Amino acid sequence: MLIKNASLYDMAGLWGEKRDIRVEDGKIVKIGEGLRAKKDEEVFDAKGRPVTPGFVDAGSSAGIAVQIHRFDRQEANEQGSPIQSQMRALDAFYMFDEGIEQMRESGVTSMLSGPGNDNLIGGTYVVVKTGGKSFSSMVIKEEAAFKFVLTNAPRKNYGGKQKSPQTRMATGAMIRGELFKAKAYYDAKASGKPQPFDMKTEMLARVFDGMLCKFYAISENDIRLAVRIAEEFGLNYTVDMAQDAFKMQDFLAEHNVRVCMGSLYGNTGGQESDEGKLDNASKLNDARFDWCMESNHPMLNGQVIQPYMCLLRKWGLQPEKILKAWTIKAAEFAGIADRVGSIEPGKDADILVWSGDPLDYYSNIDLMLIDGEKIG
Amino acid sequence: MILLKNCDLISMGPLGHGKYDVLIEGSKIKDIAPQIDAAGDVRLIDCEGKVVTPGLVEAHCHLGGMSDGGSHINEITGPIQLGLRACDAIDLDSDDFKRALRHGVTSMAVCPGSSNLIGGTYMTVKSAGDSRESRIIRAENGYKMALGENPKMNYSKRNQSPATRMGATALMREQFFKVKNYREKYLAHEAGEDNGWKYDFGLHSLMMIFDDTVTKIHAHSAEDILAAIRMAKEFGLKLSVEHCTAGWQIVDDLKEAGFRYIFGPSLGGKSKNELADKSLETPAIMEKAGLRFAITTDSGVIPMEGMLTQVAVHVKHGLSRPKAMKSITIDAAWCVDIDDRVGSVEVGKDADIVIWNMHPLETMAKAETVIVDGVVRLENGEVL
Repeated sequence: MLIKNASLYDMAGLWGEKRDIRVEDGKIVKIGEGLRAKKDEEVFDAKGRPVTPGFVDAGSSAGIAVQIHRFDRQEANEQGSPIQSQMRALDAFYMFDEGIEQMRESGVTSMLSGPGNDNLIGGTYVVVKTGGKSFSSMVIKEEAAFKFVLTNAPRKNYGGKQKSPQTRMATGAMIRGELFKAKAYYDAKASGKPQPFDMKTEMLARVFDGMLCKFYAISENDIRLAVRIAEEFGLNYTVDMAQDAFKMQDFLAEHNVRVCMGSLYGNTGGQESDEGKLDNASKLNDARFDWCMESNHPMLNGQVIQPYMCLLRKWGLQPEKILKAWTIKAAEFAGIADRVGSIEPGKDADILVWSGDPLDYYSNIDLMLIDGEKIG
Repeated sequence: MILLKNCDLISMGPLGHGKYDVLIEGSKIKDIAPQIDAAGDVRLIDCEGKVVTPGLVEAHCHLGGMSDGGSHINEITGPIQLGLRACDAIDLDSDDFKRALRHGVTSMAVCPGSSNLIGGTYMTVKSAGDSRESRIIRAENGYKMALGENPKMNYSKRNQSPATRMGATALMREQFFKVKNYREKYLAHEAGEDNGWKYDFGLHSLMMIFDDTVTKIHAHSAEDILAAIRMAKEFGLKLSVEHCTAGWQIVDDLKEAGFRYIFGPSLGGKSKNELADKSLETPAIMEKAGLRFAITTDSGVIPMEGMLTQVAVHVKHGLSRPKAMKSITIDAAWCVDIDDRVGSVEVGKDADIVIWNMHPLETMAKAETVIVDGVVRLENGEVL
């Protein structure tokens, strides 16, 4: 396919420049001016409409915490133990979840989808496209990251049952305990004298090969705890949600923390932070820490992502920052920027043609390509 | 006195949309005319280039009821809660109301939750004022009730009624029969008849459903909406159907019944079965059917800052702009019977006015100045 006359926001330097984009075999092969259609090539004339990469959600539970989950299909949070390192979102993923449609409504074409927030270690994320011919064609990475939750959610879940963790001290101790075990297990294996097989430890030990760790932390002390643990064990990590990040910018800068900023829409920090508010949107313009955004769908439902991006703009965050936070930055933080997040030759043809400004309530997605296939 | 000059006024009243000056005296709107000259001790606010609307009205929310982390609006100890009052529980000093004010919302109905079949009475209140008490429009504006999943879920897991929709309506109708009998006996007693009437705290409170108050009944699914309508007809209730999620499936029934309808919240996900038929097209369908309705955030379900966003998304899905504006102003006020005071910019009404940088349904629209009861409560976007 050849997309002609795009007003291209490629997230790699072009900002509204007129370009043509050639897509072949699911990939972007060429970007240029005045490209001629080949014989039998389908042409889509964008007629100057804005074209962006498909959005990337760096943290969601779509397909796992599925729509209408109250009575059945509560698949996001295994119960019984706060340490669930052996769980894989991959195995629960329901590709017909309406939540995935809701993601597409906002223009999301790739996402990390993972377990919920009830456990200290919830399991691993799957990285999927939000559309495709089959589940296997949708999956980019079967296991991309571990989910660690340092917020109140596990403390409420287990503390309420008179089990650990009830306190932040236990949050730290239990996660560190698992990581010490995993490190010893990893080292033993590397030295050729492996310990007896233990599923949880075997799985978790992959973090010492650089597998991404996503630490969910909202309040200032939990964010510091995340950084302390990550540095102690030399982990490849992001801090997610992190509404209190606004209060501790110097600390985050000093420690080179990458933040997957959670929603600022509707007091989403609950009792843990009063910083989850749109007033903070403009502060991100010159934040001293490195950040992208994520939905934590269903917390911020997929359908609300694009309207939320509009609200961020209304409250002063620069359009370029917003779009990058949901494309290239998210892809980089999630470790999938080799495939998605920008419109560049060699990358997956995940492309949105908008009827108008992508950051306007009233704009529609006139064309959505995922891996070069038209969706919807 | 405050004189708003050169308003691009979307009045939501008989004056429609036009260029006007608006004069405020005390807490009321004194005059609206193409040209009003300032005289005497008048504060002038030039609205040239701005859009002026009535303060927005939220017909169903829970502000101040959960803002401290607890829930003070669901007494889940029995499905029938008579005599409970939201006004005793709501923290009117909560930041929730300041947020509402910042987004141009000046009046709201604050309700008990939907965990019980009969949850208690809801209040109507302004988002700002000199004191908490002075902000109250009606401390008890009517009763809040609920059909559907929430009461069923709460009580069935305790092996109590209601475990079914039949159980829910039977329990509610039982109360309606009781209060009807109680009221007849009470009125006869008051008229001098010695009929052995005895004061009953709960039923005495519930009597207000027959006194021209709007009874709000939470109903998402079509069968729940129809059950609410059936009971309202049977007992002569002034009904407002809350949520109307599946309303698009039965618009003819809604039209025929002629009650008040409050749609929403709609923008976002579906957590439970009774939301399965949620659609962004519903308001457009309801408009086409000629229904008068409000659109609600049910805030905190959708935060106050999403009120206009939600309505804009409905406009994107076919709702007309004028109808969209009505659903969060005059028709919302009508749904809770406060349209004699608020919901439009008209002479004699409360001076609740928002000055916007542009049409409120535009993406970049912001409330710049908000006047509540004739007093500027927000200026340059900052709460005073």
